[in-house]
Amino acid sequence: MSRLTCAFLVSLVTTLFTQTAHGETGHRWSVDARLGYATSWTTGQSYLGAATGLIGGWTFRVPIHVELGAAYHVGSIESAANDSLVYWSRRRSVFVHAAAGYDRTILAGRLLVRPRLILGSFFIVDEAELGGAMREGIEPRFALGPGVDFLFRFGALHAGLDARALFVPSHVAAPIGGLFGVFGITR
Amino acid sequence: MRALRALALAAIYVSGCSRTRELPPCDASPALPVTPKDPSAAVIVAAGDIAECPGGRQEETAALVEQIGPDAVFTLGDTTYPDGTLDEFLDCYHPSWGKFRPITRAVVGNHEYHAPRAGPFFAYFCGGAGAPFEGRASFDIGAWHVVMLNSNCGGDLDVPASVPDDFGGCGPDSPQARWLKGDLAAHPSRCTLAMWHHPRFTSGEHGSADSMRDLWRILQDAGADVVLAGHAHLYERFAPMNAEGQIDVARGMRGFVVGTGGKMPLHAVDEVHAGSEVRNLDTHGVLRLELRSEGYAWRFVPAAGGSFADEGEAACHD
Repeated sequence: MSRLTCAFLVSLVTTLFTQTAHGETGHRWSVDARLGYATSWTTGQSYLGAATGLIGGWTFRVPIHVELGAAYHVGSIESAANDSLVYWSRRRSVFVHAAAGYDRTILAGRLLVRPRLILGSFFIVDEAELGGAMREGIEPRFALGPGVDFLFRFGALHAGLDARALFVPSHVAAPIGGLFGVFGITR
Repeated sequence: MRALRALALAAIYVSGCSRTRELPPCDASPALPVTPKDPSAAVIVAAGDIAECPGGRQEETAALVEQIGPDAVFTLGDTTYPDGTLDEFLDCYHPSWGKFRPITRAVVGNHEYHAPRAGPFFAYFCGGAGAPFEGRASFDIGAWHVVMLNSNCGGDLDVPASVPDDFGGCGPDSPQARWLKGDLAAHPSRCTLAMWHHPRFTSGEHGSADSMRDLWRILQDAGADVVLAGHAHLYERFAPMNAEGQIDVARGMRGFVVGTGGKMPLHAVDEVHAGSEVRNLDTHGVLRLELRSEGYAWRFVPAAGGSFADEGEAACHD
């Protein structure tokens, strides 16, 4: 283990222990709706674009947060035609993920900052139609990367932003960036 | 559910992610078979791994094709880089090699499958790439029978695993294999040429495509003579080879790998494959083949600035 990793872990454990000892946090669950946009740095037909999703999370007494979620990306449609031929293709995706992060509150508890590590898979749906023939298929594509939530609390409700960068370890895939509005409830 | 779908489609259109492009007309698209100017010596040009914008040398290789003035052009897959999109075909390939589209027969590569089901490739070439999404066809040119096959049968991480279902795979009992047997039985030509994207044998860094062993054997058993491929970015000529990778002058097929159509850079060679007679790793260019009544002659034509040459001739199997 590198010195940097070791220092980070010691710092994390110390922080968690201190916060727990001061009773700053309690366990709680949350449900968030997300609405946003994601894109990848590729020239191919996009399977991302506008997206909506739902995330269910749990934060322990020590403020470690875990969550499961899914998002649907509307993707894109491309078409081309001449006098005798019509081509149409659509690519869209569902992203299913699990994540773990750390809750940090600032501004007297009004703003929660939650950096987290996201692991998940895109399920990319390809459809193409040409001259009356059609083909379709689903391709899974593993992804991982960091994300961070900025959530303002209003009693049991919260709203804010979710920014994420995902890396897809497939040799044709490009990095992905996403920004979502978050609206949810915490109990 | 229907309302959700309508909402999603509306969101796509509103977000500007949908657009329709105009395809060149198919009226001048290839009619099968090809009728050569001189039926006793049809001239074809072949190359794969062609257009990349910016940075490719496709304009230079297109100039070679124009100089040669062939009866037909055979493209050997990876027609555009990096993703085989409509934009790449219309804005990059079409301004260079597009002028030969009416005489082009195109086999599908792996990069075409970065786009959904290689749809832009099949749309662009109209009927010149075989039936939509299948990528196999056959036709006659002069005294020769030519077979185009789809070699995207696994092994490429960039090709979705479900793609072989689109066209029937490459196994010994696959729909593509059954079609090939039937086609060869129906066209007992003295001389037969086959082409696909992934070379059965190459010294190039992508390696040899074992997945094409069964289709190679079917062709070999039918007495086929020549196989053209791309994928490896180099020029390589093999001695007549059997499906197991042994030199077999009596029954084997001579393979040409012509991945020199414009894509930069060319590949290195780690280890020379058995049966490889000639290799070149630093010259873009095209292969000129003269398909004669009882044999064939080949000549590699280098792009401007290249001096590499390879030429020869051989007879078809009796």
